[in-house]
Amino acid sequence: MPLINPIGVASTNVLQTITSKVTANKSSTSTTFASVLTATITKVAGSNLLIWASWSFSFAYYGPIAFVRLVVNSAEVLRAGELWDQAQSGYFVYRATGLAAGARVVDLQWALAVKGDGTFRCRPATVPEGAAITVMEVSV
Amino acid sequence: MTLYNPPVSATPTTGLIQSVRTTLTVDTTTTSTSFVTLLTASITTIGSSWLLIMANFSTTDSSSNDSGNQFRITVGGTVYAYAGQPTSVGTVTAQVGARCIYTAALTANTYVVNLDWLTLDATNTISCRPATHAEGASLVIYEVTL
Repeated sequence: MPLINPIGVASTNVLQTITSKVTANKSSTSTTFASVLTATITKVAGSNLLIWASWSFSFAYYGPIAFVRLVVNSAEVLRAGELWDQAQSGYFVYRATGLAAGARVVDLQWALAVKGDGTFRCRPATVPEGAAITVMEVSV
Repeated sequence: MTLYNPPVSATPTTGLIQSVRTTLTVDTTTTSTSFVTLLTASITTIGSSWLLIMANFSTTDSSSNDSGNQFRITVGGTVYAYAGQPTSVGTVTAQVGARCIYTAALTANTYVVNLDWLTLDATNTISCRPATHAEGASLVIYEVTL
């Protein structure tokens, strides 16, 4: 008897989801990338990571140029530019594949383009700013 | 007897349960300096689940006076994230912004997810005009149990 697709509903393809967010005000004047927020997930072999990292940052200076980047397992995978003194927002979406089993760190980082060109700010404790990382481990 | 695709459960109970998308289709404006709703979506959850919410927007402010606009994501009236968006300086141009958040665990219920907006300068008008301009806003929601 041929039996096509005998499984029915597969067991879940989402293995776990973790999230972290900035809760205390943070700032940076660094022109080298510094961490704003990290999330660590311990994964199994063969799985992939779906990553969402979002932010709303401002600058204590008019018109600086700055950068935000996403680092996965110590490697930069995405980068975005920011410009202006008013708060700006955005998010990265990334699918990380080929990572070995074990603890893997997802890092949202920021940097100013020019030293002395203002201060990068994320102040969720006092004003409408913030940053968050969500990592979903999936089997597909 | 050949058996094709035997009966399956209509609704998954683990992992990704469902997804919802809503997109702004009509031109919308505000001059409000307190948050008002730009876009809304509703989702009925199964309980002991979380929502992963992605919000995107492209809007234009009537002024280039460097005042700024704010957006936020709420779920059932709880604020989960804020998103800043600059007004332009010199020439009025559209600006974009986005946030993505993961909620706390939710009980089974119907939840309203709102993308709200305001202007920081009451003399300004923010416009999101998908019907007539290259602007827009959308909400995408995943319900997951793990």
